[in-house]
Amino acid sequence: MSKIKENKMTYIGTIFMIVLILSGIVKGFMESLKRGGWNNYRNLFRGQEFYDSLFLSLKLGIITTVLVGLLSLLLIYFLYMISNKYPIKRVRILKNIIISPILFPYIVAAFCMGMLLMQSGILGRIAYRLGIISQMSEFPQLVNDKYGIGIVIGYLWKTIPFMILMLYPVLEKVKDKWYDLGNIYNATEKQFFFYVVFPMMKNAIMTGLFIVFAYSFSAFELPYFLGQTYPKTLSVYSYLRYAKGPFEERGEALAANFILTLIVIMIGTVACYFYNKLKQREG
Amino acid sequence: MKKKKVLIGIIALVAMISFSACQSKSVKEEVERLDLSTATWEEIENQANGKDVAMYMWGGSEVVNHYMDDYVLPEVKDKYNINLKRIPITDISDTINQILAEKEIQKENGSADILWINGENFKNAKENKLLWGNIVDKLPNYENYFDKTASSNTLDFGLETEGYEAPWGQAQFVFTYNTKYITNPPKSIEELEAFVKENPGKFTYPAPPDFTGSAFVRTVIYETTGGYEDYLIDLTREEFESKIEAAWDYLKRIKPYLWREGITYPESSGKLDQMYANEEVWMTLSYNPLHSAAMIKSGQFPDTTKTFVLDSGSLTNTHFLSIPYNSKEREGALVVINFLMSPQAQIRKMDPNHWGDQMVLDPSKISDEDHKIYENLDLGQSTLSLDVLKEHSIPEMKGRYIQYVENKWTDNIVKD
Repeated sequence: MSKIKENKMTYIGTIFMIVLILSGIVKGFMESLKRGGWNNYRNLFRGQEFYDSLFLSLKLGIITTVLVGLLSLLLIYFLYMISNKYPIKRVRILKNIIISPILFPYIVAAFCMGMLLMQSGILGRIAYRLGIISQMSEFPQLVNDKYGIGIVIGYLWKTIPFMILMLYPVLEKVKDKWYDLGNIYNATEKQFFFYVVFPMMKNAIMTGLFIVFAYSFSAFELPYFLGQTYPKTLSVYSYLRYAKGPFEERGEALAANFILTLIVIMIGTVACYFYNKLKQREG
Repeated sequence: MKKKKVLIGIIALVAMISFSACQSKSVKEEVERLDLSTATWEEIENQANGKDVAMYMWGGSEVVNHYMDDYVLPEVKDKYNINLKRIPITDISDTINQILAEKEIQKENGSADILWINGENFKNAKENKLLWGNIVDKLPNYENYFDKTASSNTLDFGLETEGYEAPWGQAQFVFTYNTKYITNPPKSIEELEAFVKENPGKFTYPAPPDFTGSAFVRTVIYETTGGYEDYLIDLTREEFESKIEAAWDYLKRIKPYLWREGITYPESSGKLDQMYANEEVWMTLSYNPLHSAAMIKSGQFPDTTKTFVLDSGSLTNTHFLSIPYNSKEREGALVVINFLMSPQAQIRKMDPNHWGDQMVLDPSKISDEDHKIYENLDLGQSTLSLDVLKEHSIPEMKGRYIQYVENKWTDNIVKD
């Protein structure tokens, strides 16, 4: 009985989300067809800037997701190893410190990264004062740079804590329930992590990484503040055209935005499909 | 089951109440609206008494917000019993969009009563018929203190205002430099080129469509193609684009000597200011001649900061106040705008301690007493004298052209 009730509550939530988000997407799509119809899309596909922007967005999204995946796994492994030696309370404090960047909005992250990493930024000035470099312009270009290093660092700083937030509860739960079993089978700490903990985390890792990708692929703040003038990411390109461009071209700006949404939905569907297949094979 | 019924009952009740509340509101409004074409100023002031007026304005500047919150809001409450609400926004074009959306659904009592606009936003609003009408003719202070023939009051980026907006303040483009590194600032665009080439990496400008960066590119256009006069007349897009070729050549020539070899540009004037404050670059740009004085005061810019304009002139534009067509409180909006144009409010606005925005009324028309205060304002050591600024003031080009420039800049300058 209580299960049905719980389900009902999630239905309400789901309907609410679908109505709000779906109506937003539909409205955005309709706006993208205003003043020009499909020509908005045709014009967009004709220009080189759209492809350059799309490529950059994809590149940054993929690099960020891969790095976040590797680094957050490393960190959670590190937390796991520590939790075998120290009392759980201390590990939790460490975890809380690690996830603290979640508190800051992205726009603050972008600003801080700029202050810290620009050539005349905090690190640059420290290096200059210490005599490591003789001129501030010798400091490596880490923001507004060719490779998007600043953007990726910004995303790592914000999204690794998010991954730890997702994964840490799994770690604790698994340890709680299965650790003794591991002992019975005489598993080493390493073996226990890779054969018990990691497989149980797969679900959370997949979901988390998809969210990280969807975000880093389509977010605006970091690439706006830390990106290069050309090419811009698709989100920045779309926003600037919408906000600063002429009214007649707003359809094109929203068309770019709609394509951004479509790609995220597509990747989500594909990820979901493969994930289910994987599950079936294992199950 | 019982709970469900109670819940449905509550929802129905709430719906009914809100529905009836909506109805009574719209009836009330029809009764209260004055015919403003015939109303006297006194009637308008009486009608405004006790009303809430919402002013939508860019909220990104602390000094502007202070001027509004600490001075204007209490004054209009005190003088006219108007509850002025400052609605801070990041970009007035968002508000224009909102009003456009309100128009599409025929919402007759819109959320905004006063808009702070100019340039492209005014053009978009006017062309989409989002503004109420000729408001300046109703304002006593416009009648008494303004030079009604001055182009700075009637032209907004080459577009006739036709009274749809009332002048509030003025901005002028200046170069800001650090005397620690530069003793003789350039006087022409050629001298600027020489400076940039001698000091690679120490100059750049914000990437258009940033407002200040775009103004710098327009300055280059005026300077390299023979002045502003030709850009106040109607040119076709092709004519315009072929006319400004020399400006692109110039920007390409200086590009390799800019900050980061001109491969990337600061995305906003705020970033350029930050780089200037860090002494990563030696010059920054501003569309407010008093900006540097305020930045020195707050400790962000070095004391060695000064400003200059090029000999052949510096871009000047006026910013205005307007009333949307669907404003709920037009009378209140008129009274507030009239107050903002009064000598008292204008002089206070000019004081760098309070805002530092050039006044738009005609100094020769204000009382001797006010004139004295005006002349004795301390504008800060980095600011050029008002006479120099006025002498060098040149008008902006047509708003339409700005769009062409911004569109082409990416293609011509950063893409290759």
